[in-house]
Amino acid sequence: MSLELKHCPILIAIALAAFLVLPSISLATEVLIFAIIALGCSILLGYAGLLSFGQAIFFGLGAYVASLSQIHLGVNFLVGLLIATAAGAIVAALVGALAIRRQGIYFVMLTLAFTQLAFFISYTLDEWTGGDNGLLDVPRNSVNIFGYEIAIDSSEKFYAFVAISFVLIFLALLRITHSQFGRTLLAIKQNEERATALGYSVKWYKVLAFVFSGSITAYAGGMYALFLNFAPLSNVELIMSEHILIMAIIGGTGNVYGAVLGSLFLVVVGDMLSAFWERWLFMLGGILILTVFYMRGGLISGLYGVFEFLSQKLGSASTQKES
Amino acid sequence: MELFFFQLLNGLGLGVIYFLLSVGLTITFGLLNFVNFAHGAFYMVGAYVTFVIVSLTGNFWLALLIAPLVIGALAIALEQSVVKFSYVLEHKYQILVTLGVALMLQELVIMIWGPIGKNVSPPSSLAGIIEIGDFIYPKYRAFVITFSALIAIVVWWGLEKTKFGALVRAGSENAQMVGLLGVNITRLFSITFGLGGLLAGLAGVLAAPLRGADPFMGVEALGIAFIVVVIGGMGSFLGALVGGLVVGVMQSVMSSVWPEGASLMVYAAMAAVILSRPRGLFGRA
Amino acid sequence: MSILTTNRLTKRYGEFKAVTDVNLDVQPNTLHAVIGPNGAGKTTLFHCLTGVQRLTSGRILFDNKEISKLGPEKRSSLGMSRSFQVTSLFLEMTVRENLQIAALGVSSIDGFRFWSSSASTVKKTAAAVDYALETTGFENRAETIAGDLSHGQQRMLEVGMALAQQPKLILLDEPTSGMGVDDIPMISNLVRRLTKDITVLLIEHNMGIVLEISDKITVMQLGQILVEGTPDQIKNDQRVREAYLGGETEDA
Repeated sequence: MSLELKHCPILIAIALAAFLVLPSISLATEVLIFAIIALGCSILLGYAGLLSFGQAIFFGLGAYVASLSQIHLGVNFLVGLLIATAAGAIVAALVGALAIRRQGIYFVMLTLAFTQLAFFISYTLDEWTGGDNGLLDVPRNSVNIFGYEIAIDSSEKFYAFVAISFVLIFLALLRITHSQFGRTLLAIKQNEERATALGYSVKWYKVLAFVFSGSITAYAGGMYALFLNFAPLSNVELIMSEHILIMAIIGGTGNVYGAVLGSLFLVVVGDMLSAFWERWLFMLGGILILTVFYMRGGLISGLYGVFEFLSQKLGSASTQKES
Repeated sequence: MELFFFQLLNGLGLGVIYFLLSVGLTITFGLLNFVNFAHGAFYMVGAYVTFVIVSLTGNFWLALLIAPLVIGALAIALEQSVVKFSYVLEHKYQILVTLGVALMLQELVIMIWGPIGKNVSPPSSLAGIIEIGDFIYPKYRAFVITFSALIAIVVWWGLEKTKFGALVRAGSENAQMVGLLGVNITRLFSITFGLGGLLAGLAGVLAAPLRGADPFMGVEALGIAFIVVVIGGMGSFLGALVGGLVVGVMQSVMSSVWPEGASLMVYAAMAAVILSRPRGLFGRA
Repeated sequence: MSILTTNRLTKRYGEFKAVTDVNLDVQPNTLHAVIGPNGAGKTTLFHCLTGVQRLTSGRILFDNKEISKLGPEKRSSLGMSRSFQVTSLFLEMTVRENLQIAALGVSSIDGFRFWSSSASTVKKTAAAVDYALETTGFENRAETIAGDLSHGQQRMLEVGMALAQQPKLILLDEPTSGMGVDDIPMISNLVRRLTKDITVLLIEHNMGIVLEISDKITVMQLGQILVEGTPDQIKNDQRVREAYLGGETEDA
């Protein structure tokens, strides 16, 4: 419980600050959605040590499933998102179980091949996905409970819903990373051979990590489609996987707040720069290289470093005053 | 039947280009276990350099001569300035560094030439068709098949019959051992990396008149090169050749049967090969 | 009643016979050592016992259960733990965390608990971890990061990891490998003490230690058992001397 008590105010503050500080509400919505997506990537990379180019599969799947549920099933948006999450979990278990049968570079290539497969499947099934045009006019069906109707028909309401989702998902993931499961994943990442010898079925730990990662990514993908009222084919492109990875790495994968920073950086800087420099991705490639060489902990570790430095400075300043 | 034969030849042409594209990737992997995510970008830049030379001079042959050298120089420059510092890092960081390089090259190309692709026309001497009895075939495609086959033989000769090739092959077996023998293994790698880039650039030159030059052909090519290398086996020259031809023919024949499914099939084949036969057809144990 | 027996255990790599028809019989609460010159098949035998390698033929019985086909991760929950010849720890974790992870490995579900804090999950390991800390002498260094320990200390923790699993049988792969002469008694004393509670199967290169502390010794040569007996019997066996002299010239 103490964990939730400690982090809940910080997360709520982040959600409020994004709303108040960022220039537009749609930008704030996007930041929080991509923070969840980057977090999904961090679980795999930072905890299980798995560099996967497969995140776009779950992102795109979530978007398609949530949209199709609104269009064809007519279920309310909450049920739609839950179906998307379940689909994400199932597909992630499958993709994960297959991909982890190989290690190192072959694992990476398998995840890449699966993303391409997902892309071409989505492209081919254009009756369902809209193919190249994407799935247009996705509605947000309102929820009816005991005669009360809850609709998220304004951008403020939608932001509130995304913010609540953000806080709850982050709290859940904090619990998971601070659990014995989280610690076991770290142990497996550090020394897989030893973990196996100690009795851990490494395979199933990795599959479960995939399931957590895939389900929250699909949930966020679903929210993104409802946000745009549109599920484009570009959701399942390889480049989307790359962007998600870059976001997670630049933010820092060892800490859940790294995901927030990564998302903030990519979405906000991207939005600001693209207004006058369309090719700002050029800079992103450079930043990725610099991050790998000089700040492997990402922005979050840099931020902690600055905090530590400042608190030391302030600490020494105050002791000087006292003496 | 004639259509099938036509597609088979097209596939062969595509396949030899895929071979040129992939051989550098597979050999650099064999040598240092290094995976270069920027390899596709060499192919793309090769096509753009061709576009520039052809539109400036109108001479495709000049492009065929100069563009690969430019790309080879680019590859060596990148290796010396960025890539070589990642050799000591884990695989996943090498991937991320080269991914960053690929992204920068792609964006640079868009900054210079815009996001819309450019057309490159084949040399006038190779315009038109060849007629053999009833069968007709575009001259340029026939040239691509013949020329690439020649290059493949040259690469094979270089690997099998020269001292440099012997070092590369020995280095793939055991890089440490070659290092102990007094060979500067990092220099050997730089040169191999450069030659691999040169061949990918050459593939880009040959592909330019067939499909034009566009900024996203690099990503596409990287995916293809991965499929070829995985099917053929990482680190294997023969694997790159057979893998390239298999993928080229498969894509070409499939595209007349089930166009939407052509790419789907090759990626499915790649996943199946990794899962069932991780060393590919000709990979080393 | 033996705790571990192998029945005509054979491992071939292609044409090469690494281990042939080995019948091993380990009695409970003893220190049983397997020795032999390089290439005798000790390491292959060890890999077969721990499940890292599959046998070509033959059987392994542990505690009256057939375990020949079980993977390495299945064997620890039956009460069989191992150490590594090359130190293999979780280097970014503390000594205590290393031991906790080890202790929880024998349970098939505890590592999967993702909704309760790890602090509450590791509570149940307290006894096992304390036992391992005490036996290996790490009480005062429990919070040190494993990567910061000296080489000798890492070798001790290597054995401690196996102990934290509270096994019936512990398989030690050259526990003194790479240790300085001064540190070796530390390990050999520890190993000797262990047989009060558990059974130890020791693979060792260092003949001196083995003769000093073992109850029973199996000498291997060219993938087969050459001689078996007490340290005194082994010391005076002509065949062993020849094998070892031969082995040592090979080494040099």
